[in-house]
Order: sequence, then C-alpha cells, then structure tokens
Amino acid sequence: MSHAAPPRSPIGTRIAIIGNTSAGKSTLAARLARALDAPFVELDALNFEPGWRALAEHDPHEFVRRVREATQGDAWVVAGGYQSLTQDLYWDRLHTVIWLDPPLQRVLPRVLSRSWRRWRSKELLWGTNYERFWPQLRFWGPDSLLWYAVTTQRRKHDATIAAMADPRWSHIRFLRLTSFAEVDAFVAGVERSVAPRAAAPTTEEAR
Amino acid sequence: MTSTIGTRIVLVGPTSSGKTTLADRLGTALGLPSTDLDALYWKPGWVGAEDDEWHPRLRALAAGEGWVVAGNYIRHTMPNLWPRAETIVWLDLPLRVVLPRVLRRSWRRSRSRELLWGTNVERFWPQLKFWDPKSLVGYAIQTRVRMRNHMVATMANPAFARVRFVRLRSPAEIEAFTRAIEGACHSPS
Repeated sequence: MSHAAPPRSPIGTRIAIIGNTSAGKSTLAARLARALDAPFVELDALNFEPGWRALAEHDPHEFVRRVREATQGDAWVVAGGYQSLTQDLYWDRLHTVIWLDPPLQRVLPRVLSRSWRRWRSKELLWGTNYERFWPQLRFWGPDSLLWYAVTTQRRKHDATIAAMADPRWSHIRFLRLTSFAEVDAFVAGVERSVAPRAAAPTTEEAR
Repeated sequence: MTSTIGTRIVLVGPTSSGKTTLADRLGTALGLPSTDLDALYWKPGWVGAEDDEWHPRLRALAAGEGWVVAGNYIRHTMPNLWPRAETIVWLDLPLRVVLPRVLRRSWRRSRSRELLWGTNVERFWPQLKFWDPKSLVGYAIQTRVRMRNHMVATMANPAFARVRFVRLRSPAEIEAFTRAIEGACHSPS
C-alpha cells in the first residue's frame, strides 16, 4: 500500500465525514485525503448506479462489498454517512468522525445552487448520473433534496449525539464543525501539522 | 470503571452554560470527584490565584486518575490540565440561551448574598456593563469567538490527538448526551 500514514496526523488515518446533504462532505474529504496522502472514498459514488438506482436499497450486498473493498486499507477518508450500513463495516476501525453541522439556513441555499449548477452543466456525477433540478424544488416530493435536508436533520442529530455517548464508539473522536469558516480553520490546522516542516507543538505531549 | 468518555473529563463553555452542574452529574454517574475551577482560583475579595500557586494546583489535580473538572481558564489549563484529559466536553450554547442565565444567576446570587466557593459574594450591577470585558455579559460576548477559534485549533493540534471532543450546542443535546452516559453507567453490562 503506497498510502503510508503521515506521522503527525492529528486526526489519525481512517476518517469518516458525515453531515447533512450539501454540508461540504466531499470537498472536505478530498482536501483531507490530499493532506494525508490517503484515498478518498465517496459513498454516493459507490451507491448510485445509472438512473439514480441506489444500491444501498436495491442491492445492499453489492454496496457493502464495494464499501468494504474501498476501506480495507490502513488509511482512507470517506465522505458520507449511511450509518445503518457502515457502522458494521468500518466504524470499529475509525479514528475520527468529522461531523459537518452547519445551520439549515446555510445548507438549503447550497442544495439549490449546487443542483442548479450541476443540472445546467450536465456534469456527469460519479460517472453514472446527471443531476435533476426540478424534483429537488418540490418540497413535498420524495426525491426532493430540500425535503430530505429538512426532515432528516433532527433524526440524524439525535443519532450522532447518541453515537458520541455509545460505548461501542468510545475509540472514535467526534469533531463537530458548524460553519464553513471553522472547516477552513480546521483543515488549515491539519495541513500545518502534517506538513514536513511542521513546527513542534508548544504544549506538552499528551500523556 | 471505564466509560465512553473515559475517567478524566474537562468541561468548558461560556459562563452560565452549566459546566458545574454537568460536572456534578457526570461525577455522580461515573463515580468520580468533580471540581469547579472557580473555587480553586478565587480568593477572598475577588483576588485570583497567582500563576506560581495556580499552576501547581492544576497539575496536582491533573495527576489524579479520575476527575471531572468544570472551568475554562484555557491559557492555564491547556498546558497544565488538558494533556491528561481523556475527553473535553464543550458546552457551546448560543448567547440567547446563555445571557438570560447570566443575568438571572447574578441577580439571584447578589440578592441572596450567597457565599460563592466559600470566599466571595456576587455583585450584580457591574455585570450588566456589556462593553466592559470584566462584566459577565461583556465576557460572555467577547470570549465567544475566541473560544471557538481556540477549540477548532485544538481539534487539529497533534498534542491533543488522543483527546475526545464532545461539542454540545443546546440544552436538549446536553440532556440527551448526559442521559445516555448515565444510562450506560447503570446498565448491568
């Protein structure tokens, strides 16, 4: 495996980034993967077959197989939750969960602008799918990302708080970031730590 | 016993966020002594401890095998206490929750002339001067941004790579988390 663990990563080498849709999971995961020289794994890309067919629903075995294959190494940065499936797959090996939790009023405009941009540009997502725009707008529709963002927020919050108190996950550090400014400051801190010329920390080494 | 959040726990957060109350609850649940740093710091007449007295006190506290400590004093605790912590619980409550509590608590304490930490009596009117960083209201507003910047930097600091951070952002979250910890402690396993 060419992805040797950087010696001074403050967040370990096996990292999952969770959070609401459009919270910036993939962007952050790609940045951290670059900083840590680790593969970037995007669960949505493993999940969606052409025609927005979701493997996690229609063929969970195949989804699990793909996720397992992508996370077998010693270092990776995963973007995406899918907790009901992934907790059994790799949470016992996680070092860090980064929870992107910006307020809904910041997330919702991003859902729309991202969908609009992707739909206009006909960008091929994960090599399989094209964004739909109008269904996202229908607040009441089952395919609406807006609807999804609003209705799942509360339940996912509760589940993540419960996970932080769950003895099964006591080995995991949960780092919660609640604004894009915090994300930037955090990534800059990680990049500084793993840079070869990183200065020695001024505080005493922990224990 | 080991818990999800370990046995050496620091609680930080703005004034009136409920640090001391939560420290007592977690201490009870985990069977650990809880300490309020204000009580360790303040001497009669609102005189603070000098560094050469304060830092050894913090280090002696840190040396213990199990403790729950409520209080910020970050410039002092980061080098002297935090390196031994297993979990830092950050009560990151919004100002609209914290400020009314600051005022209610100061009013109650000043009326009752309750002796705080055996040394001092609360003053009320000076706390209202929001432009004065020495007032509690001014302090709550000014420390807010500094605290956030500091905590985010600490999360990315390799010296604290083994410390868990539990960031709770509403009274409901604090309650849910605390109940889950208490429940895990009382379960037969």
